[in-house]
Amino acid sequence: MTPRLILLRWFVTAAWRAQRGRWLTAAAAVAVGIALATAIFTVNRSALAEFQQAIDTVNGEAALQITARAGSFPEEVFDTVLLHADRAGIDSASPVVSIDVVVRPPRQTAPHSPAERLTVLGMDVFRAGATTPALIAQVDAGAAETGGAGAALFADDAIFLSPAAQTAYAVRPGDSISVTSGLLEARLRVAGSVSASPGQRLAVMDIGAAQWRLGALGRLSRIDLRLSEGASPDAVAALLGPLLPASVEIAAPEQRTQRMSNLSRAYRVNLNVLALVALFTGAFLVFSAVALSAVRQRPQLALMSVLGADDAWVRHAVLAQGLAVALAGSLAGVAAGLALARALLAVFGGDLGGGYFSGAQPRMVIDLPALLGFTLLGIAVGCAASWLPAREAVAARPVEALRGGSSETALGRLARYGPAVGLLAVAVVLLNLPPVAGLPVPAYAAIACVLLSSIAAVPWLVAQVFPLLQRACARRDLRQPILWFALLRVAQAPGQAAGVIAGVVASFALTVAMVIMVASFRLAVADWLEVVLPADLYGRAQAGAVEGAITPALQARLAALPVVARAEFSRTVELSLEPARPTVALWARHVDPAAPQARLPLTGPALPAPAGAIPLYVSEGMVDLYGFAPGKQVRLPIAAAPFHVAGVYRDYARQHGSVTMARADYQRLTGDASVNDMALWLKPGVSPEAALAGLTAAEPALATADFKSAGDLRALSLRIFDRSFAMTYLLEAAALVVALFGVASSYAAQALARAREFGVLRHLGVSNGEIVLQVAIEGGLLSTFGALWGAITGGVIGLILIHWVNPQSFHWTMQTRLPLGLIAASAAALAVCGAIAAALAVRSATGDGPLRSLKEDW
Amino acid sequence: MPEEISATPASIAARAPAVTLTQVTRHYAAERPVIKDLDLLLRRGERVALQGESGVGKSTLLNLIAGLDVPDAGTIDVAGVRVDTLSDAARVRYRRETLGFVFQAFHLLPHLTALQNAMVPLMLSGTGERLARERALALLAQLGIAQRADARPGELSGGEQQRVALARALVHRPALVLADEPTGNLDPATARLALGLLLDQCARQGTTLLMVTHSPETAALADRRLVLTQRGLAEG
Repeated sequence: MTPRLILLRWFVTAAWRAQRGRWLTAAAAVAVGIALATAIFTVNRSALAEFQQAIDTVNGEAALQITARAGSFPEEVFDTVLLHADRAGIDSASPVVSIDVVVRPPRQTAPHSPAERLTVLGMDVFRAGATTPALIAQVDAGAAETGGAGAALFADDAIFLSPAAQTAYAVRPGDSISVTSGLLEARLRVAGSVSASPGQRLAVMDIGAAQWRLGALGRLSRIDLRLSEGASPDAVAALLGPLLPASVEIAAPEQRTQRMSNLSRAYRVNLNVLALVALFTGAFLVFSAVALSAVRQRPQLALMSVLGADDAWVRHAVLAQGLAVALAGSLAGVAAGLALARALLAVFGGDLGGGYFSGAQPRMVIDLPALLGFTLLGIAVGCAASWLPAREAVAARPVEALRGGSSETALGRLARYGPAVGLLAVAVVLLNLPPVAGLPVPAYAAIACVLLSSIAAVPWLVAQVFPLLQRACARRDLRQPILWFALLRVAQAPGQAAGVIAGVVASFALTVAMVIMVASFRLAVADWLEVVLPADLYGRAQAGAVEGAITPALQARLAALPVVARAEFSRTVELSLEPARPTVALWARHVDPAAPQARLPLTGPALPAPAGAIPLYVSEGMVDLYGFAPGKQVRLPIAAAPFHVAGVYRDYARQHGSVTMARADYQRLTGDASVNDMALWLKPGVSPEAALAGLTAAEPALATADFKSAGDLRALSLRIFDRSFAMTYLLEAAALVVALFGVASSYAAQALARAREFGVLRHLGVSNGEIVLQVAIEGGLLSTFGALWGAITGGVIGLILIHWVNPQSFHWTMQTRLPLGLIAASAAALAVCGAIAAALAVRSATGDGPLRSLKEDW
Repeated sequence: MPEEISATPASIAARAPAVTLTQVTRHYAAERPVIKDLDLLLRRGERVALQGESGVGKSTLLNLIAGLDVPDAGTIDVAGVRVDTLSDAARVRYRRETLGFVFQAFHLLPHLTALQNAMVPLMLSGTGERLARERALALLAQLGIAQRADARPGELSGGEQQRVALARALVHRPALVLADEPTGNLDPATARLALGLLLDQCARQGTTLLMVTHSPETAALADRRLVLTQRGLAEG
């Protein structure tokens, strides 16, 4: 080790000995931020890896897949593919029908436990061997019928379950299970198993049996293609594409994986940004720890300068302290983050409240480069936080610094408004930039600028506001010496005050921003639910993707039931407009062209469609993602004719877009008269429960349908909403706790730095309790100011979240609502906590008595 | 509140006692006593220099009189107050109302202006801010530093800082000022000026002064010189 490094080590070690508690607090704050970021990343990474593995199992070795743009496609497409296979370079093709069913296992543990959804793949075993060999069913010897294993494979009631599905439904080969597809109920025999990735619930049937028993006759979901040696996927797709009907698309399976990743991307980015909030707050603790350490060491550093240490050494001596704190915090944070991720995966599975990865519990995937990245991020935060104190240490003139210098001299230079105004200007510019790769990167950067601007303004604001307060008190001829001391102290040491409350301002600003955003969003969703759920009772045929299960005859009978005053039916179809993007929901329903706003929460006026044009209403997401602007002519894969975008509506249920058209138009264009959803207005005096009993009695087929009253649906929707923000609340709470740690540790450090001041006051007749009271008043005043300024900053950030981040991330807009009562109560609580934290922190440090603090003078 | 009185030796001897220590003993842990059976009498308005080698107990003596330390034996009476029997809260009140302090290192509060530093004792005793300001400013003027009233300690020279410290020690007209090497950090000319101001103000106010100093010149300006040795206190 070189002498320079040895000297550096001496200084860092000495600083550590001088303020162990403060360093540990700062390191813990960094650790909290890094731990949250690591945990969120690892959980998402594990969930995506699990999904990727599941997709790989299902896709097998297919190089290309032909999939339906809307629901399913006729199996004649398979004939077309076979016809051109040799010319196109296709080695083998395997048709697949994929049907989501609801499972009712024989040994259900609780009578009213929720039904489980299961994907059943209908496969041609002879053709699947070439593309998806892993999905070939393994017949159980005991379960095989008299015809042997071969007969069991093709039996019309044979289903093969993955080990995870067998465990989940508590069935073994030989048992039977009931599944519901649409309104069809089928009793199937578990004839064996199929291999799948651990935890993946999957079932396989013979394709003919699946089509027949599960209501998908003549329909396919996809065709897996294995290409001849040397054939390129792009060339095959280019050759085959024009030969296929417009209702299908041909793409590589990787694009479907990308689709899943895109599905949750905005939510994941949102959570990671929130995790960075805690890290951001931790940075202030590192800053104040290193800044105060540097101030305490000013005479020693100046002495080193006098003895010949160059500026670089002085700078490194300060930076090394921030580096040490951040390194310890980062390593502890990564370890804690992995432990937290393991716990989250065990408790919540791969889902962090967003509802994107519900289902099996993924195994934890440790991404070493990412962990290294998080460690480096923490270190970078520590170095950035130490940069200013290091610069100040270098700039200090040795002769002055040798005399000690107060921390206010070093920090007082921060009391300028120029940087704050500059950062605010940058934020305004950023808000005028478009999203980057579909993410609101400039808006997030603008939030960071607003936050930094707000914090940069704190010293200047403190220097303006508290002298005013002090002068106001002076005019009242104040006779409260402790209040007088506290006001003077805060007013005349704005730099130190800023160091104390920067974390409070940052964390409370972000908390208020989230509170405003969530409150606005929740009220908007509640209003939206009122518009989109006008009926009394809603019913949906169970899963079964192929056809709408409610036939026209059944619709007519339902409408004529005595308890029903009015019935509206709708058909929902998933459309694939781009292979790499999540599907878009097409909703064919009752829409009055003269008053579409009666059923759709339009954001603007409805545009009349030109004569002959088919009106189409689109969600806000469609405008952003696909350019379906009002008045434009657009195309959908259900028809060759163009559609006229007649209006834009809010759809808080589908961030990836939905379109709505009149059911009559849909029926005319597709010939599909079936539906899967129903909305029923009940006769006066008929309760939803009574109506439901009457319905199922009259139509036993509806027993498997899922019915809910409008009230239950609203409550359920808001419950899901609250759950999806649970992680957000957790992160905000963590940031606030870190901020209060900051206040406490700042005052604990101040108690050391102000030992002489307190000693003098004790000599002059101020009691220990009065000193604690003075510091509590200072802490309370500063926390109140921090909370107020944080609330104002949070209001601005809330507006950015509502009007920039949300529309750009999730493609929906809302009106701003200010929950002032909640914000005021939180601010008051924070002010009280700040006062208590300051008092507690300083109480122990003032117990030494006045003699020790001034001992060198007596 | 003490009034301004004359300071001739004859008049001093006739005055009432301001500080009386009787058989005071203080020792720390198992060590031999720092102070043993010490007696001391300071009269009202008397200005006394205390000298002695390092380690003989000068600081301990000041701490005991200031109520910052408690004797193991003996009594301490300052301006009619039995300091050794006071509760913690009463000792705080005693220091606030009865004492003034002057430190070698000045110990001004760095974030307060010179005027505000001088106002501190008055504010602590509940004087209204307006009156405190007037009285502190008047004393700063007497000490010749009113023009620097709005300056912070960091902006003042050593002599100016010590004059602000004197103002803080005297502004509330205490019965006793305890000064520890009040000129130790000053150049000779400034030291003479500061000491003159301290002695003059104590005389004007009738305040008793107990001043620790190593300087024979400073000690010579006091009304009386006491020397503390391991054998006890003696007139110098």
